[in-house]
Amino acid sequence: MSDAGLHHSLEVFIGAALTLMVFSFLYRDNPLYKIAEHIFVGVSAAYWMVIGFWTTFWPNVVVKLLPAAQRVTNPDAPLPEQDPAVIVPLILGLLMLCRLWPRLAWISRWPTAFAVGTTVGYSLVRYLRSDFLNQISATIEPGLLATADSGALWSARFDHILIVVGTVCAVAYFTFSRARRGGLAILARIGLVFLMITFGASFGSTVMGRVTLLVGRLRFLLGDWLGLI
Amino acid sequence: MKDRTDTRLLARLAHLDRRWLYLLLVVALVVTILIEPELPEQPSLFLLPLYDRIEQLPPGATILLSVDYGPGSEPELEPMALAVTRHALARGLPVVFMSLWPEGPSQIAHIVEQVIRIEFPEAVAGQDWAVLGYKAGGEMLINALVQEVAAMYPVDAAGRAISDLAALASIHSLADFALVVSFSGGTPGLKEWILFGGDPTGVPTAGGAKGVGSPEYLAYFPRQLLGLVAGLKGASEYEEALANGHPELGSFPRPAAAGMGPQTVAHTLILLFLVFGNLDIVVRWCRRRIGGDQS
Repeated sequence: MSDAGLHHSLEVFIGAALTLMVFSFLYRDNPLYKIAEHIFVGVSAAYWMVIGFWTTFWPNVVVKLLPAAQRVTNPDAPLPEQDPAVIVPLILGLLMLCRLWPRLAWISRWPTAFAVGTTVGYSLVRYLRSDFLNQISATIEPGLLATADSGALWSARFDHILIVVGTVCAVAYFTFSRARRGGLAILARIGLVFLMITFGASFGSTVMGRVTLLVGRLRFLLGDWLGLI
Repeated sequence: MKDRTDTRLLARLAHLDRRWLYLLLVVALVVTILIEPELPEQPSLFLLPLYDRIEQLPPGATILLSVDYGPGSEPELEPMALAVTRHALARGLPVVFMSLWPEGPSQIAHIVEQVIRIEFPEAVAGQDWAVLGYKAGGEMLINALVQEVAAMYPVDAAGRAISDLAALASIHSLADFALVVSFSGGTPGLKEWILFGGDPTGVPTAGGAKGVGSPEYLAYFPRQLLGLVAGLKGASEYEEALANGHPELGSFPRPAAAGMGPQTVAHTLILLFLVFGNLDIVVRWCRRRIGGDQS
């Protein structure tokens, strides 16, 4: 067997063993499952750290401060221009590490505040436009306004009308500032039905996703490992 | 006497050890996987706009495929990523891969190995396809791409200056892509591409999502989201549309279609579990209504 074939066989065997070790939890909690769980957490953390170092810290900090470092990862790559401005985020990043020393932990709040503030400030505008205003107009326009303008048959726009009704009723269900009596109670009740249908659809999709993962693992065991398919 | 036996049987079913259900499910799935039944598919309303857009793009129009998932979502998202990549290359559209997830580069390597190297060996790296790789930042990275792609990706994953790549010759910013498709296993993913990429620039944005995440994205369809490949079923529908629309591709591997038989069996079995698990409650409820059994 060639080196590549041996490597692949070993890889498949380890994968199959770890899969069965995780599946053993379905019977009951046991040491084999715990071993697989700890290996997964350890390997994941190590992988993320290595990837984070070489794809984020190295090109964004080291290479920008010392352009010649680019050649460490790729001898033929063009050298970028030096960018001393990255010292600022580097200092902010180092300040984050102050969290490790209880007496200096308060300093880590500065870079945290900067990161949270910048992200929230930037995201707020986009979420307001895309997730709020665009969603409202996308809900109303096709169902009501376009129908009124074009005079199209209501039956043809039934699905859009359904979306409008569902949205209004679901919002009514989450209106807690007024007592649920009369019309609001009816709307809230209809909203609950819409919510239940939505949760049912989500549950069905979740089952599909989980079954897909199970089928993926079984295909790996039956095909790659046992060679039955 | 018979009534009491029936009730006991139903109560037993309701309290059956769940491990028997797991075993039954696994046996049913293994048998179905070995039999490999073929089920008919019909492309859905949400998927067709994406398929049609790729069909209508002029040859040479560059597509950005963002592989935003890891091994945990691979069984569900890889089949659709393979199908869309195959479709784009069959139409002569250069594809550029990138990822918002650290695990993305290894997933991109799978796609390149399975589709480009095997089915399109004549495709030239850098001209017909390119890999930009992973960058951290999520929505902030997308925002930077909206300004200038080369600012975040001066070189591709192989270290070549992107100004030297024919696939990216006409690309300055995100808006220059003909289409952006995100295969999304969670956050950051398709939602970030819609909010921070598609909405501000107007670049057509489509995606593929896990079954569990798909209902969330449907709210953006069709105005903010061009099309959605939802879960393994969506991927199977895409494979069907591609097989019908491009017979010249021959019998390409269809992992999603192969997974739909076991899916159907599993769903049927779970429905039966639900019915039998609740039968005892329904029977008791009916008896109480009739006034016969007070237990």
